Amino acid sequence: MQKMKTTYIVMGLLAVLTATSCKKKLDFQYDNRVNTEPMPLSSTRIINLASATQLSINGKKLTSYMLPDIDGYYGPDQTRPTIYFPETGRMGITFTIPQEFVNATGGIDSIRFSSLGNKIGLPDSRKFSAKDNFNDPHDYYYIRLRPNIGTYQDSLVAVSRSVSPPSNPTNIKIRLLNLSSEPNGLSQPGVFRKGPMSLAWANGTTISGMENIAPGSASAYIEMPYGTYQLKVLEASGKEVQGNSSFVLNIATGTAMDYYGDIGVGGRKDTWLTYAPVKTFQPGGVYTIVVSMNYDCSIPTGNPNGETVNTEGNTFRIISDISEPVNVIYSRVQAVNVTQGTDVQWLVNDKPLGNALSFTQQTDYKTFVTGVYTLKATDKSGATLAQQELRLQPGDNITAWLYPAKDGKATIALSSNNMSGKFFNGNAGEEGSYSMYKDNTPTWTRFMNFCSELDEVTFTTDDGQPFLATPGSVAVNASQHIQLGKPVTQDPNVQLMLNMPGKVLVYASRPGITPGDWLSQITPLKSTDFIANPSLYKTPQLPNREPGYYTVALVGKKVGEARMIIIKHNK
Amino acid sequence: MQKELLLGCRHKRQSMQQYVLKLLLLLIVVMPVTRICAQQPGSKVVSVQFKEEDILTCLKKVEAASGQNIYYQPSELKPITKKYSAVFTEKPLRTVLATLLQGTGFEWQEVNNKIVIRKKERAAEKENLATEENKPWFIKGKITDEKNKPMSGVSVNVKGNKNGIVSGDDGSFIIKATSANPVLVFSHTGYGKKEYPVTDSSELSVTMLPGEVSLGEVTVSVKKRLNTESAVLIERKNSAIISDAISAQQIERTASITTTQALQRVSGVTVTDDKYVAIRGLGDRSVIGQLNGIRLASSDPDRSTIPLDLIPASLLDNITIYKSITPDKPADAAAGIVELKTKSIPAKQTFVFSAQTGMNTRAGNMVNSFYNSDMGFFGNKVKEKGLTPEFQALSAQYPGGLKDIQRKIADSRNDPAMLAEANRINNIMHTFDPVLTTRYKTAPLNQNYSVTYGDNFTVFKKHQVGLILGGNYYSRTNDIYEGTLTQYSVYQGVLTGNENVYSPRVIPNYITPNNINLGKYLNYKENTGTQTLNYGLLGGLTYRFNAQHEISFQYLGSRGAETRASNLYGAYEYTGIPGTVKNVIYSLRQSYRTLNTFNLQGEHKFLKGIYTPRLSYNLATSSSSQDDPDYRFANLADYRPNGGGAYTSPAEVPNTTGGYVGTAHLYSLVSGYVNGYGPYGIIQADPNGRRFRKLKEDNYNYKADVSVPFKLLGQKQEFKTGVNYLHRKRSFAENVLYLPGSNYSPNKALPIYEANGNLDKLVGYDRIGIRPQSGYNDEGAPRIGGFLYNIQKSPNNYKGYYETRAFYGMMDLRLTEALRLTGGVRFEMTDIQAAVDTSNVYLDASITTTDASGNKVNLVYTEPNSVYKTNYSPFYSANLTYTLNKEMNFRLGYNNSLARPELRELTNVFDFDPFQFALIVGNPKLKNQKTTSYDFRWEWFPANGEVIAVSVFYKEIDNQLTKVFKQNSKGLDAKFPEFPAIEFQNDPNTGRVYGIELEVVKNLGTLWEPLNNFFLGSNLLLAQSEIKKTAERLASSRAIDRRSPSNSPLFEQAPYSVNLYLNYANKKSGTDITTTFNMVGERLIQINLDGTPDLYSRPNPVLDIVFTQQLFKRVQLKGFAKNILDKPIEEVYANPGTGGMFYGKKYVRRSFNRGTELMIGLTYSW
Repeated sequence: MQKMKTTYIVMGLLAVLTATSCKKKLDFQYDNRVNTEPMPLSSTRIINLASATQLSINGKKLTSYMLPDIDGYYGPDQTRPTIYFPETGRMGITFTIPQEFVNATGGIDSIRFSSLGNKIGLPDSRKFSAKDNFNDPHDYYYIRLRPNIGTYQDSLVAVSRSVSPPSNPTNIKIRLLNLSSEPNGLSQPGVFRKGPMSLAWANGTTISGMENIAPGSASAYIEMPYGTYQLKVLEASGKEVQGNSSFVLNIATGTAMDYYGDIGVGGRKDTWLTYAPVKTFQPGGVYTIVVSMNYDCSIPTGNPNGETVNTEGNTFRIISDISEPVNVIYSRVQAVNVTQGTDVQWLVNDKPLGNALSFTQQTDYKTFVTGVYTLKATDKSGATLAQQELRLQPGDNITAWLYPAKDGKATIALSSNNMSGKFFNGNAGEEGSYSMYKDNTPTWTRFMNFCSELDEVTFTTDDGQPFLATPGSVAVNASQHIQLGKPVTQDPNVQLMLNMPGKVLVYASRPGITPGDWLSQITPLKSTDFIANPSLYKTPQLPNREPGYYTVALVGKKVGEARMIIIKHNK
Repeated sequence: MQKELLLGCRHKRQSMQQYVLKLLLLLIVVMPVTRICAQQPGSKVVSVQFKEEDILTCLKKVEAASGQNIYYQPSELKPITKKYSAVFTEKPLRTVLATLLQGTGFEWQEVNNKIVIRKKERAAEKENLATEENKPWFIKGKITDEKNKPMSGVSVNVKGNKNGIVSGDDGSFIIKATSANPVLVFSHTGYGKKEYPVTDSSELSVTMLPGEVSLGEVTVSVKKRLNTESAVLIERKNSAIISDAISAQQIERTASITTTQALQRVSGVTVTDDKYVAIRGLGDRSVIGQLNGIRLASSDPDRSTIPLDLIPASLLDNITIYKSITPDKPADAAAGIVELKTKSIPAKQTFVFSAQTGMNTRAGNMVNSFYNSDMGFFGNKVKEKGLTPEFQALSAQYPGGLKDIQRKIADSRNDPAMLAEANRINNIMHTFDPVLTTRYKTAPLNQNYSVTYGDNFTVFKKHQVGLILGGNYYSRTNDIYEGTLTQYSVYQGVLTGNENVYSPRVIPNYITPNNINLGKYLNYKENTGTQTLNYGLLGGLTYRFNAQHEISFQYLGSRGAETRASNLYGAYEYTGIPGTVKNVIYSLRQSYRTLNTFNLQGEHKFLKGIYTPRLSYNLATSSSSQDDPDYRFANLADYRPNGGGAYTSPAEVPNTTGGYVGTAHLYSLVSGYVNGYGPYGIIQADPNGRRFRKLKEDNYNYKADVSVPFKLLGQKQEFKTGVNYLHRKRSFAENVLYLPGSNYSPNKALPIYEANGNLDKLVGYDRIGIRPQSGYNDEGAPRIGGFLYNIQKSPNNYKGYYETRAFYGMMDLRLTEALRLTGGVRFEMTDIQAAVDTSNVYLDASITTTDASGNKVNLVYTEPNSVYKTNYSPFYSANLTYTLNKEMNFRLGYNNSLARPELRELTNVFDFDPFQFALIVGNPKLKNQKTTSYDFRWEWFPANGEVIAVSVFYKEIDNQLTKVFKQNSKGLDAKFPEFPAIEFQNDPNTGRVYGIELEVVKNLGTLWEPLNNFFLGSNLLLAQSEIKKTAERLASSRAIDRRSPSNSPLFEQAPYSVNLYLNYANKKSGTDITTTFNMVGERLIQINLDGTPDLYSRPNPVLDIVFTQQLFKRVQLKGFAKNILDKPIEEVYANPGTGGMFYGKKYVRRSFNRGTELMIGLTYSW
């Protein structure tokens, strides 16, 4: 009786349990990504160099087709993402066509471009077609092309693209693609570069295999070590081709006008420099430098109020043929000898880094896998002068210096070079993601003091005036009280404006005394000393200086023998 | 020596030490004396003379001369015909007995300080024929009280055995014995303990005598045993003041796991949120929680609450609620005292183990939880989630704040040491779980274990040591799935604190004072999962030197951990902008609480007999802590404009503007302002963030009472005096870690777009700490610090203490046999001081940063230190009890009392509490509240375990400390969400509470025979409270509703509460089933100051069934089903007394089902 009762109770409870516990509970979830489904891509890309904003393929609108607010200006209400263009709903430079637009035979039909602006309109929209082939991927460059069949001034040019990475993973693959047009009667001859083009280093030395690439043709991809380069495109005459930028150009020379330089048109100043971006080419990257005609050359109308008008010109852009790799493994190191009277052989993990260096000489950069190394400096006989641990992070660019310390002992200093043009603006509090500014024409100088008789020095520009970081604010860290052998770690670069004139003077400062006593026996550096190759400039005058990343080091054992040397870090 | 006895208390207060020292000296003096007093019966010296008398007469003489009870069966001794003549002068009792029994075939034995005479043969047989002797046999009997009425509920034990029974309603009992000459032990609260040697199988007739008899026995039992209902009723009956109580028996019958659950069954008690206790409508500060006479520390940073839910009910003997107070009780118990008595020491060895398991039907096997929410079996994993010392050290290392760290990260390529430091900080920032959302998880079954062990021993021959050890563990899961939560308002619009997700406030034009409607403002579904675990340990040690001197020590420790994961999702209802505005809220909370109480009590009677002066003292320290590590809260508004929208991306090049990026969603982490506070009259209130809070409170409570009884008017009178010292020391530390995308950050919602509104991604490892390499891929580029959590303390850290000292004198006078007057005066002083930590705290960078022109705002703390001191002031109380007959009392009570502001309420900090959605502010101007109470009660105890009582009470409250919701609203001009401030104020209006309590506890069998096994209990409270609304509150309630009443009920005061229980106990079948019903009337739970009516909780009927079934001799099956009706719990916008309506419509703010909780398990007792 008692047991039965118990059994009933237990059974009853179990029944309630089973009856009530079966409800399935679902989490509340949401997914606000624009495109939540995988979108397989074809191998075919469109490179839109003609500033088209809208795209339709096979009758399907891929962009938002929103009219600009004011001509060429898209405000917040005209920015409507599509799943193909999730950021703005408009075409950018490159677009990989999704697989869904490729038909059974590999064709991509009815590619239509348009721009809803009126100012520099595109030719009437017309159909293009492309062919997708995974074994031979192509880029379709949409460009303005002259001369052209029919009356069209646009063209879709198919260019075979390499998607295979360089054979050496520390290298990059790069080519020059010349899609330049011929000028017409409206072209500004001073601005318009034409004909065969060559790719050159920053100092104008052409890169072998990249010379005289005729319009309509591309060089083969060549490999070179990864690094930060200011690659320049030269026309046959040796004049530089303008990189795509917003600089106002001198009508006569095609050079950029900015704040410093000789008085030019409309209150602007001629820099005699042609814009070419300084860019880090990432290891394993595949790049195409393409020259094409654009309506993006801004020239003064001559009106003293500074009015400008856009004109056409062949300018170049850097296109990444594969998505740019993230460098998580390589770093580069160079070494300098700033020990007077000693020749130095640098060794990394007992392997030589460059050849033996005499005083003030530097090695080329060598690429290393990140990690911890032993950096050693030996003399001619192989005796170790100094040794230090070298810790390398991905993307590091390190210059190793051997200098005599105050006691005369050879010592290694390591300085890390920022080759990105990006700098921390100091505004970040809790969120640092938005506190990075970019200098598009970096003219940066880092100062080092290796004169063992001087505990610290201060570098100034003309007349002892301090270097400015931003207008009104002195680059205190970068230029003042530079300690012997100690690289500055915070805001280490003096960031000069493009083409800024001014010498570099050096002062023996002391703590609390700025700038201190001028070391008049040390020849000041002129800004033109920073120009590597004056013959590059086919301009009426030389520019004041060249953009790039420099280190100015005060070297020499004794103050009397001391001098300043310039190390340029980018090629 | 001193220090040890003070239980490690390092509290340096001169006066206290002296005080304790005196007590200890007293102890040392008293101890040796007590040893001398104890004597064995056989050694007692007697002088007696026999003249040709038979043995029975002789023995009576010896009894009379020695005062020693001698047990024997006269029928056995009758056959002895021997006559005795002898003179004994100052001879030991044993000599006398030896002479008497010589050659009779009888012998005497000392049995537990009693002398028993029995046959010699039996003793010999016992040795020889042990097997036969141990054959069980049954002893029958009947127990009556001093008036010859049958006594039920008397516990009957065979001495030396662990099992016992309880006498039935007619006083009869049957108990099994295994030995030939068992000694039965009868005990009943309020009565003496009686030992009765059984020599034959005839039916026994036992008479129990009340009162002091028990004092003559040397058996350790901690005072009275009050663990049964009838025992607590007797205690109530004999008490000088109005009290209600619930016993362990009732706790078990209601299957209460926590003390708060048990308390809900007491008349006049209401419990909110399973935590906050109110007596007769007065809550918080007016209710004092005491554990064994010692005040419990609060573990809630913002409220003065007693951590009752931390104390497992199974470790308690009883809970008594004193509703009228006497001078020996703290004067700040305006509403009453909740006195928890832990398990007392048993008279015999006991061991009870029970294990139960079950589930909540709404939780099922799924509970809303979150990643890494595992608390561990003992909750230790919660504790480990607190801020690491490394993180806390950062604020000292980087006094400049996060700016310094960001720079260090940016520069970290330039120096290996900086790199190492940046990486170290990155690792610290990555220690926080990258999760802000909740997920359903498999829920473990509910578990409940408890074990109790008790015994008493004799040491040093005469001294008694009692020991009790108890442990309890439970883990429970609740889950609300798809509850609804709707915010109604007269206003419409979308205020989120971000201009991108904004629609101005309007009052729709169909809402007029003649046509009052509320519109849905926000409408949510709610998923809330709660997992609770708790365990406690009780240890009690009593050392009894003799009947007069006893000291005891108790430890109660408990630990509790809770995980609460809440998810609300819904939308703003009337946006007035094209597109929908969805809203999702996540709240992830874990807490870990501890309570340690050490308690040393002593009770000393200086003389024998009932007119002895008594000293009792109690030295206690307790410490409690509450740790809320990583309480995460995120409230995301997601506006989906028709056709999409755009946000501005930041500029990369100096002095340029960024571009526009299109988006289908515009986001805002909802945040707002509180107007009217802080140095600038406005305080930012960002509920979003990760909060780390730590509260620690140390409590030192010392008290001593001396009572001196004397005889006057032929009655026993008593004078009592004593002192009480209480010192509570508290420290509160808080860190608030804001989230990326806060509206108060310079880039506002920008990070949320990058995470596509995904809150987990928002705090993912790629956004927190150093950004991944892809963010600074260029050669030598400065590394980018992503989002870093705020390293500085919040400005809400404070330390303080709360000290009261008191002394009193009172008389307990029995004017006549029937009339008893208890009263006196108590003097109390108050000293509350708090200091806000103003050093190195986080202040909003946008205010404190030096701007371009070198201006800097210096934030000045207004009064960081609060001091409130009062001198000793008198509090009077008088209680008059008229006992008509033994069964009936009439009581009148009067007392005045005070309530003190809580430390937090005085402390001048502004702390936004996302849980209450309000800014909690301190008010240093607070002063004590004064309450005058009048009580009347009629009690009738018709039979054992039965009571019928009616009480009427009236309270007048001056300077009432009231919780005030303040909202200086900009009304229709509001551009940001406005949160109210919660402040405590002394109400200038006098508050009044009056009510009536009815209580009936009845054995239904006495009414109708077939209901013999049924017991009915019920209590009902009807109370009316009223307070005049303040001018601003009235103005805002009448902004729209011009007929809004000018008076309001008191906060959380219910107009009625009803408890009913029906118990069926069938001793034959071993079945015990209790059905309880509980319902509490509507209560005001939130005061709205924006024109919207106030919020009330609706009555919710709760029906529970608890059953016990004896399965085997020592095994019981226990189980319960709680909240069987599972009616939705509702909160409504309403006017009071309208049945939850507002102008004929029901506006339900929140509705959810709590679920039925089922448990089943086994209990083994031995």
